[in-house]
Amino acid sequence: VSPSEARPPVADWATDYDIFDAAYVSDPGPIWADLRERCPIAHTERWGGSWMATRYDDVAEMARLVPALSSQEFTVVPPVPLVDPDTGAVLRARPYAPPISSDPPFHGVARRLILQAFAPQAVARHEPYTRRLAHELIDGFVASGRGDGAIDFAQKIPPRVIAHLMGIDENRGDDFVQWVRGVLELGATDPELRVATGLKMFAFWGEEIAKRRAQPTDDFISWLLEGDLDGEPVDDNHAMSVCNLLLIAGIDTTWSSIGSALWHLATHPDDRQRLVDEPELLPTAVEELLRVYSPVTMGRLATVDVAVDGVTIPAGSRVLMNFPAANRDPDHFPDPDTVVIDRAHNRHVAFGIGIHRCAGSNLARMEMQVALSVFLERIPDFHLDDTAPVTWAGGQVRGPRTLPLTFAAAS
Amino acid sequence: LAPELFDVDDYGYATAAGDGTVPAELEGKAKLAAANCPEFAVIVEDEEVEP
Repeated sequence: VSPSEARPPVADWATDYDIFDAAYVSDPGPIWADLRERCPIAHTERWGGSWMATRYDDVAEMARLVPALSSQEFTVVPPVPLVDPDTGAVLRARPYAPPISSDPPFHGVARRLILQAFAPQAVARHEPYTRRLAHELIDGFVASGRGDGAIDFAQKIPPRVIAHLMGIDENRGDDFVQWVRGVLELGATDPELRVATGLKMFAFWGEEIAKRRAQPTDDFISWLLEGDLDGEPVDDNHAMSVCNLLLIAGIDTTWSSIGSALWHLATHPDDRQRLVDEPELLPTAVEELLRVYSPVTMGRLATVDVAVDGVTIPAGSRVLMNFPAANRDPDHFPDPDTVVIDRAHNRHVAFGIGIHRCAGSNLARMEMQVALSVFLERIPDFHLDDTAPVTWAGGQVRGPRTLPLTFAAAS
Repeated sequence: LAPELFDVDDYGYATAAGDGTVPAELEGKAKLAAANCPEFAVIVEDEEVEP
């Protein structure tokens, strides 16, 4: 079944939710508000079956139920085995992407291996590149008075920044986008595409790693290969899996956030003007945009029966921690569906919470701040171009995929 | 959020700078950090100060 194919309409969101429903993907707020009130742990048989939490406290509790809610499966749909097309051998029964797919104690070991590359001081070294890139992208369309904020801008930044950080060819940014969409966004509902793309990516990483084993380079991948896992060397399988994770996790999450932020600013001129007038407000505004337009929902696998908020989730069930819904919980955020651009108290969970909290949050924040600050500096006044539609993707990662904008042509 | 109040190690983990004493002029920032930490890891305690 693909999202474009007709499916029966949702009868009741509490018992039959559809995370790929077009109306839900484009405006999930009212559905979350209804569920939070009426059935905070909802259930569906769709897409392999799952249980979904929409209250902040429930989502936070789930994130801490380790390993009862295990990360061995973390996608919002069931995993598809990765099978070698020539030999028929099962390469991966389910995604192996440490540390995101790991439970303790290995989780901590795998996380420490990569953390230093994403510390604030390490991320700051990539800011000049990010700023230059943002300017170059705007140079490409600013004279025409129109551009697609998702395709021409947001989508092009994270792939090149993460490629720059890892030491792979930045010019293949558009390929990386296709891969990530293939394994995640389009692949979520198209298992064949997911497998074909997964194989392509592993072939790529195999070559990149082999090159550096033969001739070490001064980049992230060579550094990773020299790392140690609690005294053990990093083998090719681990390195490949980490690289794959970083490319995927580094791309469509941040591109979605930049795109959602631009959509908000295009449709809320007062907020846009305020950021133009008070650029020092941007770090606070980025947190608020992350809260209201949080992109990521994470899955878990219940390894035992788990009771949350009075609901018993049976062992073997897929559980969805809906961080975006948690961030609109009125018990934690006054006026939760409104972007309050200078909201000072904002304990949002856009990056998750607990031991699996996003390892790349410093990088994501830097990219968002640089992207938005350069955009607002170059194009301070922009609007939706009503001649073409805005389209949204959702499921695991929500954000605009087309975002046609118009503005006064400039240089 | 407040580099004057926190040190960050090579792994990106933050700890209170120095002995953790918050200068009066940074009290607002410290309280903001406490209100925004998703892990509730920042706690601001009041202390009686000898006049």
